[in-house]
Amino acid sequence: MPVLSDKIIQIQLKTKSPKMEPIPKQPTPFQAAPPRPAPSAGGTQIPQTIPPERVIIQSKDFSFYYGSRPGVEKITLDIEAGSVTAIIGPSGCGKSTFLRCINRMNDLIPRTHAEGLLAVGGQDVYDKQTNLVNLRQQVGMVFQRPNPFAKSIYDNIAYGPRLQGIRRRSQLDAIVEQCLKDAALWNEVKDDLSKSALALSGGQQQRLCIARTLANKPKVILMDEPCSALDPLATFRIEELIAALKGAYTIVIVTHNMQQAARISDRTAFFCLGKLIEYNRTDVLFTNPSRKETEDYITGRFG
Amino acid sequence: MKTKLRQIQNSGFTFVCTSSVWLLTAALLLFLLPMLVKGSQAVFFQRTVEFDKMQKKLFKRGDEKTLQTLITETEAARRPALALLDQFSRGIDIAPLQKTARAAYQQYGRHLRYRGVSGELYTQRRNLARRLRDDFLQAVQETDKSRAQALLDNIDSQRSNPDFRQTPMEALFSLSERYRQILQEIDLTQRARYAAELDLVKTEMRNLLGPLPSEPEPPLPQERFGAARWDIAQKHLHNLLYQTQWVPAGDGSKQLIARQIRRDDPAEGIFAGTALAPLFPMMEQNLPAMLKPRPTVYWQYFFDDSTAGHYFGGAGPEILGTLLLTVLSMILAVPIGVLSAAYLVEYASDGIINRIIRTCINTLAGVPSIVYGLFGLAFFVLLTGKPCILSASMTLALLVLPVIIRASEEAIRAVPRSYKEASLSLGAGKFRTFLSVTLPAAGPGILTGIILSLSRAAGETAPILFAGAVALGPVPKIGLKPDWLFQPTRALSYGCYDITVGDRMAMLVPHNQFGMALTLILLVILLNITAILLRWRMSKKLQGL
Amino acid sequence: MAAASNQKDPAAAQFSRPLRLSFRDDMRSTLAAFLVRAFLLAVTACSVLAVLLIFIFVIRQAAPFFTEPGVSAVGRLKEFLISPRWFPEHPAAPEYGALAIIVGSLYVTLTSLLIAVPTGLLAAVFLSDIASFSVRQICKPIIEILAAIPSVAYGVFAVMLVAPWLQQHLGFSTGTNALNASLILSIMAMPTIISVAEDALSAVGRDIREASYGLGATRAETMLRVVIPAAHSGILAAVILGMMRAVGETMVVWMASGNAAQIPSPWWDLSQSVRTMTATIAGELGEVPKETAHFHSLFAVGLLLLVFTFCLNLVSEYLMAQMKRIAGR
Repeated sequence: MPVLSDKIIQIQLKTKSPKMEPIPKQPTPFQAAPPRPAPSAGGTQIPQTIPPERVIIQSKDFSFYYGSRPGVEKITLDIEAGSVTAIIGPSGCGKSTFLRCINRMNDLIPRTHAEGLLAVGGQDVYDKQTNLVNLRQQVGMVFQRPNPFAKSIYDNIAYGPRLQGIRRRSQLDAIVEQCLKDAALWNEVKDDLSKSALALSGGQQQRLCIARTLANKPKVILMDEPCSALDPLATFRIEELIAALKGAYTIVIVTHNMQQAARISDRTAFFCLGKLIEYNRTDVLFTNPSRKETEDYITGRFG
Repeated sequence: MKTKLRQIQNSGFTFVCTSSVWLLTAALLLFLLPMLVKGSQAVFFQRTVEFDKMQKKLFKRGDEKTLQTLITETEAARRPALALLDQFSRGIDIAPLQKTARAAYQQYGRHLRYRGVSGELYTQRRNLARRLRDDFLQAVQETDKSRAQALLDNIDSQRSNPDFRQTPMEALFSLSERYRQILQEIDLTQRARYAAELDLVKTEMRNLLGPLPSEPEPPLPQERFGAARWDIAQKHLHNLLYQTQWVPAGDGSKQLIARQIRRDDPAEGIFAGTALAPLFPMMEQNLPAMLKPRPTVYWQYFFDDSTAGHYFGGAGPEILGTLLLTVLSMILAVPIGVLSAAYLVEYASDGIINRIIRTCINTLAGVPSIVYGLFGLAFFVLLTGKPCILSASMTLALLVLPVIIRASEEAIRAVPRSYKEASLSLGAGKFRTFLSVTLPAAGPGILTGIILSLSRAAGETAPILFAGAVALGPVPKIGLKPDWLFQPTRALSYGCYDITVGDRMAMLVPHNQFGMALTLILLVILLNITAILLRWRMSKKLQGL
Repeated sequence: MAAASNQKDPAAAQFSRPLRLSFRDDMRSTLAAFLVRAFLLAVTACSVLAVLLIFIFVIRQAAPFFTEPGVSAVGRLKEFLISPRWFPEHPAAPEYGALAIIVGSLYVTLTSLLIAVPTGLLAAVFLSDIASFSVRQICKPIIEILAAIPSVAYGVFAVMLVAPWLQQHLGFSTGTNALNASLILSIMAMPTIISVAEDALSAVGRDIREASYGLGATRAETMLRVVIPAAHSGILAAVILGMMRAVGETMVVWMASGNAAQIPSPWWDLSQSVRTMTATIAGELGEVPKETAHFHSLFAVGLLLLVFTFCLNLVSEYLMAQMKRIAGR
């Protein structure tokens, strides 16, 4: 069944856009069921513990409160540079809250505060002296619902570079083309870049949002359930894209879809009720969870 | 049974609710339709040759040659009627004769001084001339024919006096000759009876055809032309044909009602049987030929200046003034309003300061417009030194400020948070995000608010009553030098008021009263429809998202 | 925290732009944020300033009326509020009794509300509960246009068309009277009443309606017994806002009410001319010389008007807040 659907999707893709460039071959077999060994980036085995020089995001006893209610509590985990890390958990468990803390997106919500340490590249993001502009430029974010600006495709992607002061048209053109190619959207939109971004389909919009993030040349991309509003075909395209981006970017993805986490991530963190229950290599977490709650959740016996 | 009753109650309730909306719609139509019909007559009407003359003279508009042909044609049609009137009024209306006699005497005095005649001789000749003049003045007033003849003979006896030969006094002699002839024709006893009515007839003739041929150019522009519009011509024609008599409504009744009697009515008409009687049917039949009514679209109504009291011309300066006032008030109010809204949405927390600010904005929205007028007079006029465009605009700006703040706040609040998040996650600062993402997304909403407050500012009268609106005044000349800011201006809203209750002259031109009100209504409705359409498109766009 | 920033992590080197603000940047951004905030606050404070200035300047011009040398302030105030004799232009003994014009204002306002409140409320019920979506889409612009028509245009309508009609068909001695002004005012107050009352009715949630319908009530019963009582504070706010609109209206009452400073007697005789506070200000301020008692007395009338609407405003704000609380519950 999974194999069959895989084929169908391939066929559909071919019929839909025959001129599409071949997607770079990635070791991303399309399998649905969890236990399976996680694919390793570049073929090397993922180490159980991350060597300190490869830690890009470090969280230590980090808590975040909405008013007096904790959104996440005492989170301690490290994220490796260049890897894909998935955060799973039941809804309301604080996984999105944690993700949004990494680039301080929660600032928009009034009456919130953070405790403990959450460092990106060695800089505590909740420190007063954090350069928020640089942080958010280099820790990009893709949201649950695609949220392109009501501007043209071109202007959407050029938004970040323009903020950084790039004004030369040729330079912007190059960035736009490169980012759209990286986000596997170029072939679909190259003929009318001046079209409104709102006219694209949901999946295309989400890839545009990823391309928009890429245009900022981030080190880390945070993805907050990027596929939840999309159909399976579009989800497949996004997952392919994530696999292609791995290595060059550190990706942290929040998902409610365990299969997706298993398919694409190197490491997985399981959150429940605002707490980090378990954090391990994906293959280990899904085959051999060390905590009862994790096992209950991934086998579907969760309350 | 109970159920039935409840159903009846329910459908009755529905009916009453529905009919109240119908009532409202009916009220709107009842208001709009008459205004539309009557107001459109300011632009769509039948113009007469007098209209063309007025346009040529006051606005330098129209083709000289066609106008000349028109004038020749109409003059030909008018000639018999005017001749009739002139003939009849020669005996009745003695004012022109008296005037000429007085003028001759005065000129003679000047003539003597010019010739260097002085001293005894001067006094003697002058006294003689005065005696002749007085004789003539008495002769024309004399109701007894023979006594008048005697006085005229008296004058004639001096005709051969060499002192008067080749002097202005010769005019007096020829005048006396002419009056001698008139004297043969007319019945002097009727003079008193006809004089007052003839005056009315002459006024109406002037209203219809412009100044009579023998008269000099009147000083007021509204008297220089006859009826420029066919509807007005007909009104004057009616006044010409009928005399109004107030009679008791019934036997012993104190209430009087008006009765219209034709002036040439054989039984009761005052001019029945006189030489003037043929004038009335002549005017009735030949008026189209005298005035040449043609349908016209006077679109220049929206640009033309007007003569005093809006008797002729359009509402151009009023429209210009309204536009100036509203645009200027927007320039003052929009930045403050939008920035205030930005602060209220993006920065304000639920503190006491925020509560005070909100209460103040609500208060500002509730202050009666006339109190704004008082404040404008007590404060802004103090700032500018005198009532002027600037002080009026500032008053209006204050008036629309709460409208703009509320509309902008709502629009900014309606921008989805995901927009802001997208921008922030790309590394834009808070202010940058507001300028480049939130503001453009809220733009249509803010624009809607601005258009609505434009219409509000255009329609308000009370705030500008004392702060810079005038009924009559020069048209502001907009230029780089800000002098025009410190002049008062006419405005549509104030013009509407003034022309309806303030100006006696305007009562004669109802089409202008309605026309100006309609212009204001259309301006406001146009702005509102733009806002409604804009909002409609916006909601469609949001639904499409 | 200190440990994290001191950590020598090679991964940190990957970030091309420093994540930590330099001291200068920190100061600059803090300062910029503060300045932007202060600037916006200052701009927003313009509204507060405007309200203060309005009160200060109207009071400043009204004060000489009460402190005029030779008259006692209390006596002036008493005359102002109790005497119905408004003869400020009398050369020898001017009288400043504002009672007649205060009564005139309330008179036309209340009579107009007598028409506007029932009609407006029923129309609001229609829009919120009876009309289909498409009918509402048509009705809303109609009401908006009704609200947008300038008062002076209504005034022209009242003088030129309503007044002659009243005179001819109802046999009034003058067409510009209390009835004329009230009729037009009710049309002007209605859009306000409708839109606020509709908001109030919509704020009462669908669940309450469904509960009532679920118990077998008809629409009339649901509206009259459940929804309207639940929305009473919002509806009251609607009435008060409509009243503010009517009391503050100038041009229509000036043009249509006949401007006779008298208390109608008998009190129900709508065919008599009355004069309101707004019309008095509008009609007389343009003619009086500055710095005279008459001039200042008009500002006193304005002050009375201002205080009155201010109080109404506070009440309506309180009611609106209550409405929001009910809706939020």
